[in-house]
Amino acid sequence: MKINFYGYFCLMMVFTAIVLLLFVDVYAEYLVMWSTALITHFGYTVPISTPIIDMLSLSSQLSVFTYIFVIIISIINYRIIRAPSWKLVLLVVFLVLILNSFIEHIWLRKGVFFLLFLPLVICFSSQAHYYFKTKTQDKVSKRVLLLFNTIFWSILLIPGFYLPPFFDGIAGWTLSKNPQEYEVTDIRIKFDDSHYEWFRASFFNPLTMNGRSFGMIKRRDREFFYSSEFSCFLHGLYTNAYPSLKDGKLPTQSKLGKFAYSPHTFDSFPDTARYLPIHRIRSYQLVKIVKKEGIKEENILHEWESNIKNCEK
Amino acid sequence: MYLWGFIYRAGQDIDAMFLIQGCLFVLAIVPRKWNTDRYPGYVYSSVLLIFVFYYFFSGVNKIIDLSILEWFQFELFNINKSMLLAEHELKYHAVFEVDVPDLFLIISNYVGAAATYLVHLGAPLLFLYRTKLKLFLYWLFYSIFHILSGFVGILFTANFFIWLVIIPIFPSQSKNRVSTREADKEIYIIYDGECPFCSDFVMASNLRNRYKNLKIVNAREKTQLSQNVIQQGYDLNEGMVVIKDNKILFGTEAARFIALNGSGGLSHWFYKSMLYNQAIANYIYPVLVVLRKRYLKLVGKGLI
Repeated sequence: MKINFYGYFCLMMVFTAIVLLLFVDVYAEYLVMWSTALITHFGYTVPISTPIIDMLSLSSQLSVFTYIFVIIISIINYRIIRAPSWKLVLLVVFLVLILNSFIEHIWLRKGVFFLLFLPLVICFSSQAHYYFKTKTQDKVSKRVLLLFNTIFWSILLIPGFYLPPFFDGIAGWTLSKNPQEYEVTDIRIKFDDSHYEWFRASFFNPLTMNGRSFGMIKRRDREFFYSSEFSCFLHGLYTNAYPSLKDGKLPTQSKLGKFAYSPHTFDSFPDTARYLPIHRIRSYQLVKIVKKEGIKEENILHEWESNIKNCEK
Repeated sequence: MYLWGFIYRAGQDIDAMFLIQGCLFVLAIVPRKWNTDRYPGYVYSSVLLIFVFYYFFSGVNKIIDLSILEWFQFELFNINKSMLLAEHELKYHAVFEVDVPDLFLIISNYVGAAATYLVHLGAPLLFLYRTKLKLFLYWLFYSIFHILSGFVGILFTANFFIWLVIIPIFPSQSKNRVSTREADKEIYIIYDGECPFCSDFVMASNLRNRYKNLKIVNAREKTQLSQNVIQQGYDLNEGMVVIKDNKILFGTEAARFIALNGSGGLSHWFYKSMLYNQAIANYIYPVLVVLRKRYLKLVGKGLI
């Protein structure tokens, strides 16, 4: 009876997955049009809708192999439910990796995985719960195991989903890079002798991830980011950092020196003398520097004039 | 929780390191009276589970999100070279500079990431079948992995230290059990009751769980026993005393006896780690004695 239920469940899910894929495949252009229209209807401008367009537009049509793999995976999943086997689990994992080669967008990969593996996850969730419940003797261990079992299977239930504020993991390191090229977007300080130095991540101490701090401020409060108040904020950070810079230390090293806890993003000061006192700062610049095919291009995206007197008020 | 909130508001997610640090903190402040025997086990399992959860699901994500070709597409050393170029030309950021044979580059570029994903996926085995060798190999692998992250300008310092918490350095409790005859023996501990560190050290060991007839004597109370010990030439300002089988253990020996035979929570684990090795304990104990004297002077209390 139970096995029959999972059989129907698998059938229903594979059918849903195929319908979803067909719908996205055939109506991708319409979906883009409808979502863009919906976004503009709510008064947003087109650039905001760009991620949605990227998400929906399929650069290549889904191949027939996608549907074949979806059906094969579902059949194997059902066989695993009937008679669990490590060999079949490894085979199905391998097939998922091949299936992903035919689907371009990660959100669609996640969706298909969710539909195909839902019966398997629910089946094993109940089995694992029963196993741990009978195995452990004392109450506390039972409760702890129940808690972890619930978290474990809940995370598997919605692939790739972690409950905020917890880290959802790096999706995958698929970066492919030309070693002769680079792209840098960050804030730098312009001094009165016209030389520049980077406004380093460790100045934002305690959060020392490169680009994360100012990026977050920009996202949260755009108005503040582009106002003169932001230059005062940078002034404050530089004022805090400067005493340790004079001693050749990072702001994170002011107390413990080289024994201090290392910042998340590496930081070092080969020539600390190049960081001048605060009154010699002329401005702060948000720049994007790109080197591609041997040509270096520099774009100043925004510039904040330094005006200490205004900040003191 | 406040720090987690701060970190999240500042744009960073709560990762395994924050969870483990939080977990250790909570377990450190939970009263040790609660299930003392199993307490170290709970600490150990919780830390291990957090690791297993984070790494395993990170591995699962790689199956869901990546195609087979993308598993072999992380060009670590090309990224490193690109970042080094930016560092040399713009003085931007800092990364480890690498000078390794080409074969290593190829392996790391195309196989390194895939190997890491597989190790992630095997993480539950670490919890279900714990052996010292497996734990050590996992620690070694992730230490190398986190050093390699230095090539893209990131260093996960906490990982190196927190992994050490889950490597069992002491024999298991079952091997450490004593016979009933041993448990019935009379044991005396003579220590300075005015020194909070000494008190915590003695209390944290929960030695009474092991020796039913344990008697803890405050040296400041001038009892007959403490006077006898002083008359025999032991300076209680220079170390604590344990009397067992009419034999006097003094200073480092006494402290090691308490640490190694005790069973307690995190603070006991900390003391035990410090004093576990005889040679290291011989260096550490005199420092602790000096620190005690400094403390007593600072708070205006005299010596015994």
